[in-house]
Amino acid sequence: MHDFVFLRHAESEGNAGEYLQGQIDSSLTERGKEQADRLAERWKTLGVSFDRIICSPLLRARQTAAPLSAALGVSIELEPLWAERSFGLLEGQPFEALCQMEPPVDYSAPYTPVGETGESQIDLYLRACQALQKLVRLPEGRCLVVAHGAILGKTMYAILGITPQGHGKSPVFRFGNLSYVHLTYEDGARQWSWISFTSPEQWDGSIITKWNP
Amino acid sequence: MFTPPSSPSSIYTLVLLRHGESVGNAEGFHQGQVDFALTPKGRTQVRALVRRWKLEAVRFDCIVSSPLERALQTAELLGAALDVPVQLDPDWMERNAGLLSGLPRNQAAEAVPRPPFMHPYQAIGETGESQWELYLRAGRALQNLLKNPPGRYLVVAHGGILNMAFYAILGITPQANFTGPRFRFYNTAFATLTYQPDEHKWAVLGVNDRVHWKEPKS
Repeated sequence: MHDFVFLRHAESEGNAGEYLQGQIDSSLTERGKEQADRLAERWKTLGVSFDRIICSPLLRARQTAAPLSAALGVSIELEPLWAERSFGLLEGQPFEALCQMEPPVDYSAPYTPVGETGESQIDLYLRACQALQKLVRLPEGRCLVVAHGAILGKTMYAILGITPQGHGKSPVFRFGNLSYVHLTYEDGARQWSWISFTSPEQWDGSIITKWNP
Repeated sequence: MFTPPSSPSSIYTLVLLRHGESVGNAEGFHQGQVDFALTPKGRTQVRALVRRWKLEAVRFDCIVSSPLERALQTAELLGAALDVPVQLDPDWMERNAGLLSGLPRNQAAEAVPRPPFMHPYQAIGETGESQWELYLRAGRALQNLLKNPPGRYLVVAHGGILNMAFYAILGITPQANFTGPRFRFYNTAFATLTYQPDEHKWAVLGVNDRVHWKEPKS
């Protein structure tokens, strides 16, 4: 059986500054670094183990993966397919300005490149499918993927069999910083099971979560 | 993502909860629509959830429950503790499992052999609901719920019907041989979703959240 944990990076400068990062590199904030350290510590205490850690090459993902790699003693493999969506000319723009654009940024066909030169929803979906296929072809085991909100959202589409709709009308999987999804895939039954989707408020709050393989 | 947030008064928050451990769960029965009460452990799970939600100051406008005993007992304990009214909707009942209903799991395979291939329109346990019938019922249950004004709703139901509710929300259809994705719901685990009708936008915030419950070490 394949066991996958898909993790979104910790708080980055772009998250704190409320602008759209896409494929722009931005570092984790001090808070983000603390978040990542805490998750690493928690997983180590709980005896969580992985056979591999696969990570987007963008800085905020690598900085999130680093303490996990150190704490769990697993090296990091970089995979460009897990990079965030390219948002073209919109990258670097504050969210406030993006929310006021006319027509709204989300109001487009799924085939339209975002920000003129960025990836369309279908581009991103196809990339997520490719990334996922590579994962499933790995030997069975426990695998952590450290990536980004938009690419992970489309990965959930690829897993569940949902396709992107026009005008941003398809469902959203709300990945906060360090939210993670735990899924299993059984080759024989060809079945995905969604074990959990956990936000940091749950694992970092007053209630302590536990690893439940 | 790039639209200003809707006002909170126009958003639905749905918490989809599976009942606490029932006698049928503990003793390994196919339950379907057969009534089984909560076990003492099931009640403890519900109390743990009450403690958590009180700590988190979670509030609901209304609890909608399946009328089956294991769900209703869960809903009534929660309703009393959190001071929320409980309404029943039979569309949230578990799948009618036909001849499998009430059978011990270890006898079921012999008593009602499972066909080697099952298309999604085929009745479960010979006389029960097909995957499509369950899916359609889940769609109707959601539709019923969304006829209420926006607010915070807790649904107390069962693993099978909650999976089909997820399908109906996300736009997944039933597959042959039950090969479609499966959303795990442990006892008293819940999923959290929001729906913005003005944008027709569903968001999934959590799945199989059960951090209030730790299995005692055996």
